[in-house]
Amino acid sequence: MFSQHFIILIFTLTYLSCLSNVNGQRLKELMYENIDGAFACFRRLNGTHQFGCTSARSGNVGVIHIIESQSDVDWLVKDSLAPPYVAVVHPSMFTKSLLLSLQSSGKVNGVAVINNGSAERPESFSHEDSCPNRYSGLSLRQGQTCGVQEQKVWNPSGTSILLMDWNFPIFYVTEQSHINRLYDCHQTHNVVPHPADQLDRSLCALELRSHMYASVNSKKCIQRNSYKTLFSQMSFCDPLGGKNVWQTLFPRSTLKESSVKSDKQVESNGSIAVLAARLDANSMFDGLVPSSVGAVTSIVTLIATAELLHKMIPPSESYENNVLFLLLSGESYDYIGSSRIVYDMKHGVFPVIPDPSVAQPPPIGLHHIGPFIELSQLNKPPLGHPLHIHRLNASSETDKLISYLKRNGQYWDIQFKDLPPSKNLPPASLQTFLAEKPDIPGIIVTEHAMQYSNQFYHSVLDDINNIKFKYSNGSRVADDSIQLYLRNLTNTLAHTLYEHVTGKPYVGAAIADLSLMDELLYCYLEQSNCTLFQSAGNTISPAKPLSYYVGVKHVPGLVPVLSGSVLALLTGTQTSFNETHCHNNVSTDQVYQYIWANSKWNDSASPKVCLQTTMNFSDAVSPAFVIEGYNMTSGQYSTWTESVWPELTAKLFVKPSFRHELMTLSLGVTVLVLSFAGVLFIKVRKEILFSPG
Amino acid sequence: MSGLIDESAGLMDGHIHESRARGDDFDEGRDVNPDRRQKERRSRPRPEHAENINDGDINSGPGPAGDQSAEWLNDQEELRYGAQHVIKLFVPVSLCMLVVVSTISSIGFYSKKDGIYLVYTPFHETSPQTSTKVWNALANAGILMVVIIIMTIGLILLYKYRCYMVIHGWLILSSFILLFIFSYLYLEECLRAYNIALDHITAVLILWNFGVMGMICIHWVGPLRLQQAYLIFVAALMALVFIKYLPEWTTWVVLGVISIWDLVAVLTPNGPLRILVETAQERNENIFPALIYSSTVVYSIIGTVNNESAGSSSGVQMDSPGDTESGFVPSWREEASERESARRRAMDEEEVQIRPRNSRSHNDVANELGLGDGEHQGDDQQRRQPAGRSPFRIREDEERGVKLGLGDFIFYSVLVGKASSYGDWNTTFACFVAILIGLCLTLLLLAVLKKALPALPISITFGLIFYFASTLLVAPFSDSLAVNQVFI
Amino acid sequence: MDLSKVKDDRKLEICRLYYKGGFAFLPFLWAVNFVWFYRDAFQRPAFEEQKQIKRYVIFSGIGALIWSIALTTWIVIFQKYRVDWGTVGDELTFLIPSGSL
Repeated sequence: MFSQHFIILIFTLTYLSCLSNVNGQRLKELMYENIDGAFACFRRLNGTHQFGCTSARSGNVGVIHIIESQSDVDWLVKDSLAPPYVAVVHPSMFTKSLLLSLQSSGKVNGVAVINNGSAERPESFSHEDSCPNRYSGLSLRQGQTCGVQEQKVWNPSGTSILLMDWNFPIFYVTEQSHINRLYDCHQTHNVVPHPADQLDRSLCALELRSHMYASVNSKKCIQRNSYKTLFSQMSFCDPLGGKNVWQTLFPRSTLKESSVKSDKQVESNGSIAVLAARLDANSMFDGLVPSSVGAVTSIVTLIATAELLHKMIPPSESYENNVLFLLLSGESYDYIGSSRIVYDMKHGVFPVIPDPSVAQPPPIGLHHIGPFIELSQLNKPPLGHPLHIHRLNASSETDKLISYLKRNGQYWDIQFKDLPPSKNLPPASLQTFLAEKPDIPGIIVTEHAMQYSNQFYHSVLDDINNIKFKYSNGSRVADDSIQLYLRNLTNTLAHTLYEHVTGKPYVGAAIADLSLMDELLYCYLEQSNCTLFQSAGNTISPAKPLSYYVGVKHVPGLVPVLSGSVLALLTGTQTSFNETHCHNNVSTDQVYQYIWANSKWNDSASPKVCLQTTMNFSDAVSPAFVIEGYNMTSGQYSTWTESVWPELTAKLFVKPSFRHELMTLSLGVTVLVLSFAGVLFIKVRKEILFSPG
Repeated sequence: MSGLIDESAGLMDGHIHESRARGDDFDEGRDVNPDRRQKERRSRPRPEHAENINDGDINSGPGPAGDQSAEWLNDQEELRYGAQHVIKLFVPVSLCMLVVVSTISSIGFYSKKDGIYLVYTPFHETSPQTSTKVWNALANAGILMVVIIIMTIGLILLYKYRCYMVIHGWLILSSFILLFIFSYLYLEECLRAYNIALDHITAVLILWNFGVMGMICIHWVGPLRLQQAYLIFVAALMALVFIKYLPEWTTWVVLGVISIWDLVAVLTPNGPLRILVETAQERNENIFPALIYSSTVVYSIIGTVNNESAGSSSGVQMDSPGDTESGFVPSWREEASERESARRRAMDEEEVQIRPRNSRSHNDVANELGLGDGEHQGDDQQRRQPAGRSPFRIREDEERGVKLGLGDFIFYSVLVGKASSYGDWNTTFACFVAILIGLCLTLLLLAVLKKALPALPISITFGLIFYFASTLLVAPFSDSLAVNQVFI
Repeated sequence: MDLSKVKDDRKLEICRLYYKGGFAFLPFLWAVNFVWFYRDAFQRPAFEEQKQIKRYVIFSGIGALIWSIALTTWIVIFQKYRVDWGTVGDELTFLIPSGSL
């Protein structure tokens, strides 16, 4: 009978599925060992290409093969017989040539980079282009800004692995216990005298899952984002972006006030000095983007300078000139933050779209910008070496600026060396401004001369060890420490800017707080739940190093928020507002922002307080995503997007050999066929078997 | 549905009652009481010699001694029929569960909680505390129950005051939503799960064809198998929606509460379902074609309409669309929202019923056989032989059957599907078996008690017990056995 | 419903309605019609309405066949050239597969 038959079928099917999955979830958890906390390479796209890694939807599985020498590579590429494999490599072996040979072998389904931190650091480890932001900034106006010969590139150790499209997932494993498990498992199951021996054994395998939704290029995936089904809309990629942090030294006067004489600033051309630094960096792996030299040193110097300048200039004084502090997001990706600010300034909508009905300061334009100092790739140079100053054109303003710097630097044991004006500026936000207005008297202060001395630019190894930072935590700071050096640089910068603002050298006694510098570096490099960040009102930050990846437009990263609130905490003036009133009234007060801080800096026992500040945020989203119908292939603005992914997981397990799998399957099929045959047999003879009475 | 209510003593006791009638008055049955015309309760697959035994039974029927033995035989036969019906119900119930379980395990969408829940479950069990979750679940289930009760009463009022148009409109709207919108969702999630690029044209064509065919099958006429398939699929869809959009604990509480409600609605003197059925019986008419799902899967004999219409009132009904569907009636009055389904389920309690459909004269049978040439050949042969022996045999019209509300299908599937959503096949299988055992027991009780019984309580109770027993006891135990490699 | 219980004139009516309904882009209806009434049309002894039923059944079958061929062809073409068609291909796609070109 049909029904009987059918029930048997269901029973068999269910039984088979039971067989294949013996005891469900809990046993499954025992079969797989999750490699938690592994960092995955993900896919990024620009207007024309896709970069990064992706796995298949259900993940890529491969037999582990640990690569410690070139012979291991050869074995894997030439001799191995049980593909697919997952290559497990140390950072020192993780090179472009290795990846290319693995990719072309067709046997490799994934790569796991293992680094427990204690191992010796490779000589260099930078996956960025040898010429970062090669196609943006000044190159748009002036052609290639990077050295033509490969020897003269900014980032000689750059391998461009980050800017290639890999067809397998790459994971970065840092936990020692996981690395041990990988080794143990490999040793137990995979090490064989002869490659053919692997065919008959169950082998230790990794499943890497990092499926990326987006593909082709930003144009295509942005377009696909807009397709809807009846009830849902699928997201493929999100534009990169975040928030820029900006602050003026003096509050700016509103248009209405400017008619009357007021103590607030009304800008004239070239009156605003800019001190800029970038807020973001880059690496191959999601969630692991340290950036000691790349960003942190510049950020903390800028914040400390802002704090010092506020101390040096009493609130009662008022000057014609102002200083704009800029912390720019997304600079690693073709200058997202700065290009947006330039775009806004050009269109007269920075910081906000003018609204005649409310009292607001007039927009800042590019013509307002006077001296422009960008801090980039700062580090403590070797003893006796100077910091380098790069500039595009020689001009009296830049000469004056450099002379101020040099003079003030002498007091603080900071030497500067100004390089001859050159079209080949290092990658910096200033390039974006210069591309729009080449006569801005801008300089870039860097530690390096014509090549990065940082061998770990835009990589996971540009971490705290890269600048040899030791947290003093209130005790005396060593004389050769990075803290001290940056403190001295802060003093130099502050005094220089003071001269710009007031027109006279600083004679007071205010100097930058060394313990503040110590704390700032500690917060940015080691513990993002440090007391400073907590005082600034961010109590929920995780207790781990910050990640300086720019993030996507809809989910701005943590770094801008923390930096902004720290700026506000250190420079804001205390008000008597309570928490509910601690915000500005947009229709009457667009000069100040109000920040509800947990406590005052250096006084964590103080009560919560409402701070009035000129610090503010602006969107760091590329104009490419603002301009209607922007041509994504034109290359004018950054078109970077990040793919959406459902999950990034890595699992370790023992994979049965192919023959074993085949046997299991055929056994199952046999049982199924036999049960069908049995049912058929019984059915045919049912009269005999089931005769009633 | 129609058949089940007007003919016979009604749903409640039809089964056994009928069987008794058959032995005694097989001769006059067709004349005296068309509705109660006796019929063979043999289902098609019965072996030949079983029929012979029945022959003897019938022949000896009139005698005083034969009376007793006939009764005994009737009882025995009845039990066998009961078994047959159970098997017949197993198939659709299992199919429905199979659809749900396979969907749950292959399409992540239906087991993933994305924070969207039914309107009727305002408490989302977000608290980590067990006590809060418990009262959330209880409150949700309470709200859902109230909605179900109100809807049930509404339906009964509508029926009592003969607002058929409203009810039919409602049914059609519900099935429309299910067949188009929910199928659309299902298609979309299938495509997403398997990452298939389907073009709009094909997608629209598929949905349009699928939906329209479904509407035709359920509300008008269509091949029986197709209709059954649609009903099963629609029940599965509804179950999937419940699994997806009910909070975790609420689902389990709702399953429990609904079984209790089932019990009340069917068994208490003023239970809504009882009132509904009684009203329908009084009126001697169909309730709604789309209300009840009957296990009478196969019409084993070709009824000629001529005879039917001439001979009996039920013949008239035969012609009506309602009756054409009565063989396997969709008790599908599912609204898009769950409340309705739940309510409907409450009404469509399982009833076992035997519908003595037609007894026909020998001539009729001959006609039928003539027609039967091109029909199901195996069936015909089976029929033909007894036909030669006795006219009586031939009228083995198997239209009586166990009726199971689609709502029961849904809640069975919800239980099994929910169990499978945790990824443990042992538990899933345990729940599946538990529900089928519960079904058997219910049917057994039906034979004993001879009245309409709720289908949910026993099955769901068993299912819940098995579920919690196997997740909390068996699975950890077998896991630790497996871990320690006891079997090796 | 069970066809065996239906009068022949009613069968004809159903068959005709199915056939007509199929023109509303419902090839499935035609396919069902063809299978459902196949026995009546071809395997039963002749009866009054059989000729008409036969005609409807044949036309339904042809219609369903043409539809299925056309649809299959279209699906094959679409799957093959979706990527090449670029934006048009994307716009025609009901649900764009993740990670696809």
